[in-house]
Amino acid sequence: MTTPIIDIKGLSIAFGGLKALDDAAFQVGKGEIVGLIGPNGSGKTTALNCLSGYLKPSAGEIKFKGEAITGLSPDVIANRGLMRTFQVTKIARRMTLIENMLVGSEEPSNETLTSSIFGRSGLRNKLPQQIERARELLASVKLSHLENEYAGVLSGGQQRLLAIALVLVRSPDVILLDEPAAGVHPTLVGEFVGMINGIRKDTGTSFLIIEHNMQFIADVCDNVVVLDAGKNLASGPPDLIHKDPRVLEVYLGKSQDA
Amino acid sequence: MIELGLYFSALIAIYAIMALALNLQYGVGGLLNFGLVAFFAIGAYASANFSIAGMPILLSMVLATVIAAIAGALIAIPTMRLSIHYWAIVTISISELIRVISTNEEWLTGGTFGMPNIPQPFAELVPVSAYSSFFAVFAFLFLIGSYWIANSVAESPFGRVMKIIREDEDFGRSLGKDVSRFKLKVMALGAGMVGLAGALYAHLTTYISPQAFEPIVTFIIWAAVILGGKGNLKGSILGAFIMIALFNSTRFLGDYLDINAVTIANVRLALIGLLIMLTVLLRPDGILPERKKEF
Amino acid sequence: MLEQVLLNSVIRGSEIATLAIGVTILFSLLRFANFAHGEFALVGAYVTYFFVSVLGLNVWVAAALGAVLGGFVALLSDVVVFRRLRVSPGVVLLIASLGLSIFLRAVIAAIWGVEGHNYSDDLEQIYRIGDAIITHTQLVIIVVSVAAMAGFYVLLNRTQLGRAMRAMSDNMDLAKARGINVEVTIRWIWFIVGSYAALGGTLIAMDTQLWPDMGVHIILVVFAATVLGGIGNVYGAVIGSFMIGLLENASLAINWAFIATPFGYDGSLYIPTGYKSAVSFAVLILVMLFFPKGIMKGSSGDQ
Repeated sequence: MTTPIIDIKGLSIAFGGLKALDDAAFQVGKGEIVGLIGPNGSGKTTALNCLSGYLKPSAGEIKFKGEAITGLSPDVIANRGLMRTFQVTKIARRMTLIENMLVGSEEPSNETLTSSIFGRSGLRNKLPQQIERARELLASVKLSHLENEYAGVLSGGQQRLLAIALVLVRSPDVILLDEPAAGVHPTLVGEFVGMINGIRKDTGTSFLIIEHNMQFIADVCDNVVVLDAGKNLASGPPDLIHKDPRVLEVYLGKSQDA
Repeated sequence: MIELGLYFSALIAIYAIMALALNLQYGVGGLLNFGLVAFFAIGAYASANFSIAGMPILLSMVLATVIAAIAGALIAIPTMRLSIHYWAIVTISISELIRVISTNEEWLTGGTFGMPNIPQPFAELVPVSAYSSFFAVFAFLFLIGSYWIANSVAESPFGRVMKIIREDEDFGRSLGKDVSRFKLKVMALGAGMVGLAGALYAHLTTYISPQAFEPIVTFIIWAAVILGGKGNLKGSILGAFIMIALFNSTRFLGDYLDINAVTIANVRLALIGLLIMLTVLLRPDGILPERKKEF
Repeated sequence: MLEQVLLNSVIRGSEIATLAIGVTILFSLLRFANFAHGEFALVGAYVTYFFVSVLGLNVWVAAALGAVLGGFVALLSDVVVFRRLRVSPGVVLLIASLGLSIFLRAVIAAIWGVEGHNYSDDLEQIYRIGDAIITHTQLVIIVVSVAAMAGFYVLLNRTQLGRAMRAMSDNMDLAKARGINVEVTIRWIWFIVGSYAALGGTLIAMDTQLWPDMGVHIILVVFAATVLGGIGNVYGAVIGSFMIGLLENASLAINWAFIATPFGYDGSLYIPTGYKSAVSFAVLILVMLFFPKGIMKGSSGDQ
C-alpha cells in the first residue's frame, strides 16, 4: 500500500466554544479523486482551510507526500505542490487574465526586487516564453479570447475556469476544490467533470473536492468522505455512500442537488 | 522671482519622489502608509547629521536613504498582519512618535531649534548665482532615477505580485507568494525613496526643524497620489506638481489682496481637503488612471 | 498623588469616551476609521466659543447648541460625502474622511486663527478630594460626560432607534430584511455621534484650551480607546477610554527607576513631560499590535 499523498489524523479545531472539527481523519491516495461531503456546518471548508494552511488546527496531524505540513503557512504549502480554489472564487479582478496567469506561473527567483531593477534585460528575455505558457493555459480553459480583459469583467463561471487554470499552472500534486460546481450552469458542470477526469488521467494529479452536488460527486469521485458536525461519519465509494442510511439521515430534508 | 521658481522646482521634484514612493506602496501594493513623513524626517535628519559632521554629502544622502529603508522594514515587521485601517492608524502613530522624539532629543536633532547650516552639495564648485539652477537639476536627476526604479518595479514580476497582494492577500498566498516578505520589501523601498527625498530637502533648505515634519506633509503626498491617479506613476508626478503649485501659488495672493497670511495658508489647506474629497467622489481613479497592461 | 492621577484619568477618560463611542459605531457599521471625528469635536468646540464670545451666551447653553450644530455638520458630511461611498471599500472612505478632516480644520483655522482661545478668563473654583485638586469645570466635565454616557445607554437600549442600531450592528442584511430603514438610521447615527463628539470637543477645550489642532491631537487616542475596547462595542469604547486615560496619567507619574535599579541605577527616572503625547501614541501602537481584537468582545468591523 503506497503512502497516501494526503494523510489527516485527529484533526480538531474550535471557534469560540464551537467545535468545527472533532478528531476528523481521512486520506487521499496518489492519483485518487476524493469527495468531501456533509451537511452545512459539518466542517468541510474548515478541513480544507487547515489542509491548505489558512487555519491552524488545535490538534491533529496533516501529512502531505509523507511530510507533516500542519500549521505551515499557505504559500509554503502551495509551493510544495498543494493548490486550492476558494468557495468564493479568488482572482485578481483589476489585472488582466494574462497578468493573472503570469503571476501564477512565475518562478520565485524572477520575483525579487533586485531582478526587477537590475535584471531587466533577463526578465525581458524570459517574458515571451511566459506569455506563451500563459496563453496555452488560457486556451485549455477556452478563455483565450478574453486574455487582455480585466478578470473582474468575467462571468462567475468564467472566473471559476480562470481559477482552475491558475491552479493547474505549476502542475501540482494535489488540487483542493471548494464547491467547484456551486452556482455553475448545468452544462458547464459536465465540462468540469470531464476536465477533472482528464487532468487526473494526463498528469496523475490527486483531487479533494468539497461539493453538495451529489451527481457531480458520483460522476467524478473514486472515494467519498462524509463529515457531520466536525466528525467522521462514513467513507466509501460514491454508490455505497449514496445508499448509506446514516448519510441519508444526516441529509434528510436537504436537497441533493446544489 | 526666478530663484523662487527654481526653488519650487526642486521642491516639486522632492515631493514627486515621495509621491512615487507612496504610489508604489499604495497604488501598486495596496499598503496604506499614513506615516510617510516619518521617513522624510529620518532621511533629512540623518543626512544633515552626517554631512555636518564632515561626511561627503552624496555619501550622507546614500546613508540616509539606507537608514530610512531599514526603518521602513523595521516598521513593517510587527505590523505585517494588521488590516488596512489598523495599518493606517499605526503608521500615523509611529510617525507622530518619531516627530515627538525629534522635538525632544536635542542631541540628535537640535530639538525645537532644529539644525541650521546644513551643507549643500557641490557648493564649492558651483557659483552662487547659479546654485538654484544647479540644485533644481540635481533634484530632478534623482527624480528621474526614482521614476526609473519605480517603473521598473511596477512593471516587473515583483510588481505583479504586489498587485495581487493589493487585490487579495489570501489569493496571493494560494499562488505560493510569501506575502509578508513582499510587503516588507515594498515598505523598505518606499521608505528609502522617501528618505532620499528628505535628505534632498535638508540640503535644499539648509535648515530643518520638527515643524517641517508634521502630518500635513503625509497628507499632501496622499492628495498628490489620489489626485494624480493611483497606480499611475506619471500621475504621481503630476499630482505633486499640482499640490506644490496649489500650496504655493496662493502665497502670492496675500501680496495682492489684503488677507492675513495665516488665513491664506488655511484656505490652501481647505482646498487640499476639498480636492481630496472631490477626487474620491467624482474621479476616484485620479486624473491619470492606471493603465491596463496588454501583451 | 494617587488620587490626583486617578482624578486626572477620569477626566481624560470622560473626554475621550464621548468621541470613542462614535468612532466605534462608525467603524463597525460603516466599516471605516473616521479620521474626521476629531474635527467634529473641533467644530463643536469652536461653535460653542462663537456663541460665548460673540453672542455672550452662558457657556453650557452654548455647549448644547454647539453639540446640536456639530451633529448637523456630521450629518451633512454623510449626506454630501459618505453617503455616496456606501459601497466603496473602506480605504476610500478612510481617505475621504482624511480630506474632510483637513478641510474642516483648515476652515476653522482660517476663521479663528491658530492661536489658542479660552471660554472664559475667570479664575476657577477649586475643590479638594483628599490630596487631589479638581476645578469646578473639571467636575462639571465629569458629570456631563457621565450623563451623556447614561443618555447613550438609554438611547441604545430603550429606544426604537437604539434597537435598529443594535440590529444593524449584529447583522446588517437581517436588519434590512426585518424592514429597518437603514439609510434613515445611519443619518440619525451620524447626527448623534457628531453631537457627542462636538460636546466632547467643548469639554476638552474647557479643560485645556481651544486651538485648531485639537482634533488631530485627540483622534489617535480615540482610535486607541476604540480598538482597546473592541470595535463595535460601545461599552468597551467607554472602558477603553478610561483605561487610556489611566495609562497616560499613570505612566507619567510613575518613577520608572525600578526597572534600572537591579542594574545599580540610583536615582529617579520619569518620562519627560515633552513626551506626554508620545505616551498615547506608544499605547496606541502597543494596543494595535498586541490587542487588535480589543480586550472585550466587539461586534463586526474590518478586523
